[in-house]
Amino acid sequence: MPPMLEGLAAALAYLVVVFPPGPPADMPDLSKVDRSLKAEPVYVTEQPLYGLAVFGPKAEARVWMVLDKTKPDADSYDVLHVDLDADGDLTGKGERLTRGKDDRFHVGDYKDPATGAEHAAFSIRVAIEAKPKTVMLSLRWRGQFKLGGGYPVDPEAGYMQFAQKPADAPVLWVHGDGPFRFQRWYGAKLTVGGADDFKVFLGQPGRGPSTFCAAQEHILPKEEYVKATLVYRDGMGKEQRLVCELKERC
Amino acid sequence: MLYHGPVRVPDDAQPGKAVIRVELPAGSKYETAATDIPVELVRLKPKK
Repeated sequence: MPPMLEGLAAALAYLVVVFPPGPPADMPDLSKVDRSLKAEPVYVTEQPLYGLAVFGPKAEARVWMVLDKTKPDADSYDVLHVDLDADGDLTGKGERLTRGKDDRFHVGDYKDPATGAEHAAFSIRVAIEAKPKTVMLSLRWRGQFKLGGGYPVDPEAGYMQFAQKPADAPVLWVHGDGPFRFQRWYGAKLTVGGADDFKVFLGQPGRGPSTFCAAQEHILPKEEYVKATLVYRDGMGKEQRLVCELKERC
Repeated sequence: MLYHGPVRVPDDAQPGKAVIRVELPAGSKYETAATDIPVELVRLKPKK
């Protein structure tokens, strides 16, 4: 094989190893989540905004969330239609919430209709002052720890925004049983010869911008740390690995 | 709710694309799937 092709083949092999195509076998393929809705209410606003939360290890329960208004000329979205029984019908009893004074729509206790797992303090907060409006889902997973999203990789990108149509809706994967994944917070560039601080969330990735769903409290025991292995190429082009320990918390 | 710490990049690392593989060590209370996070290695320009 000509040297140039050998180099190309090696580069492709490196990419496949480091960035394997498609989601791992132990996580749902969120690109294939059914985005159909069986029934929607007559919205008051001209532009409802759509978001989707999927629960459990297989993302079986699809909980649509649609922001609406009480009046067409209301300044902000103050109604949330949420498909709590995950049947695709947003007109069910108890599925129309109004915003509280704390800018949150409170669901309270919630039972995943697919797995039976019970969670507490389920709420959705809309950042009223933010432009564009951003949304944050939060709950206590199985009543044990706060879990929520969606988080961006870089704060400049902004937090999760709902979409104007279901096909574009961000998908949050709400799953706190593990195995967990990680997402960086800042840290896209590291200095050669330096030791830059690298921060990560622990949780689950979603589908769409700013859809990481993270543990919102430190769930690791104090003595535990996160292992970060830098995979890089040295001056000779040879792959090297350097293990670092992320022991700090904030 | 963030975990963080210094990631040292050796002097002889090639600038450009690299990966940080993040996971919990064996024996952790929780199970994790190793997550490969793409990063860019950059060399600071020397001060004039």
